[in-house]
Amino acid sequence: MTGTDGHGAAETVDFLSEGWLAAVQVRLAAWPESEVTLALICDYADWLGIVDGYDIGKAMTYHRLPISVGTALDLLKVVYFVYELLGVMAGVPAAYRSPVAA
Amino acid sequence: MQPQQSAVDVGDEQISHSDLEGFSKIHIDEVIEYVNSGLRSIPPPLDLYRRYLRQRWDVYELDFTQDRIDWAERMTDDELDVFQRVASGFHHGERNVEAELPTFMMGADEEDKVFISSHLEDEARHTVFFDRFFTEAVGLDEGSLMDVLDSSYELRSNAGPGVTGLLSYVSDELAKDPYNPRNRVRYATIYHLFIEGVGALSTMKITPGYCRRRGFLPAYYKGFTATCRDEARHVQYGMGFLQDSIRKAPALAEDVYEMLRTILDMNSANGNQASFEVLGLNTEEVRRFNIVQLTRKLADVGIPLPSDLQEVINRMYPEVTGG
Repeated sequence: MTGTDGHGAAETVDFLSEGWLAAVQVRLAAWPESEVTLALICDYADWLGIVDGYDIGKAMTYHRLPISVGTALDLLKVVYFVYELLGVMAGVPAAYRSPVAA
Repeated sequence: MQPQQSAVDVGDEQISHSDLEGFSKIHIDEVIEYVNSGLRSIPPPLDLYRRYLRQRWDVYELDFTQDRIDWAERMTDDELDVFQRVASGFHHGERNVEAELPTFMMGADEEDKVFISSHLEDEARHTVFFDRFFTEAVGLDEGSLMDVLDSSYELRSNAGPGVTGLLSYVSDELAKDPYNPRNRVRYATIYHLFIEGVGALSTMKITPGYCRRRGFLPAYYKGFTATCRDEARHVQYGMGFLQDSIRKAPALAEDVYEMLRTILDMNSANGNQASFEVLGLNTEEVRRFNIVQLTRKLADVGIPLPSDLQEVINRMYPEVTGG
């Protein structure tokens, strides 16, 4: 586990023990409770499924990502704000050039 | 001398009493108008339940043999693509409302519970209808209901979780506090008013209209048109519930507006821009029909349309969903 940030307890965790979940990195952010306005929870098996490519829209519709803090209306507004943001970014005519090895 | 019945009244009577076979002779547009005309006078829940007992149809009476031939041999690739995107929106919409309706039943009055039990059975039957269509006509791999839903999920034209995802979360909130009037009004706004009264009604004409013009998919046409008639009872009940709730507590109108603002924010996502031209329907015409349906539903509930909502409504896309 490494790192902290301004909120004191954010951590990047590499789950490498015994080889399980070896490819997954999870960022745990312990925000002060009073500052959290929206949070979802997920059980471990469902989280693994999402990491493995299970459609997150389906996970939301099938109650696999319930809200623990916040409201349904706030959540969906945020989801679609991000969705549109990504759509706008994808529409920018720019290409990423991979660094060429020396 | 008996008063002369208008043409609409005669049509309504025929639609109201049609059996499954009879739907092959009824135009889908007439059934959509039947749904709207039913809102002029809303019957109490037990009357709607009696009507359900008379109108219930058997989804296993449908024979998809000709539909399978039409699908495999007579439709173009472009038609198949758009058709299954629209049908998939309904498939998932029907499954979603079937799964989420019990939470609304929990806090309902006893008469309402009786009607909602019939409403729930309707939605289950509609889900089986689309399951049969996708397995027997389209030829998706047969398996469990969820296997078929998973196969048709990728075909949807909606961006992200859509209104089905929002309904699941609204349903979670209602389950935590099922008697809360604000929760119930928000639920009825997304489900009865928007999904059933606006989205489904506006896009229901797309695939059956195509079937009727081309003479294709006879079992799909009959089942879908019968499904549309069932929606009349659901929309009538939901509009009655919202009217009654807001009459008792006018401040609840703000919950209707807030839900609609969220839905319309989601609706404006670029990924929702579906086109139906290939099925013979002008997409702009469907979009305008969507706007008319939403405006009419707010008038049916008896609340004015705020100017900010009017602006967003004027830009909305057709919402392909069923309920």
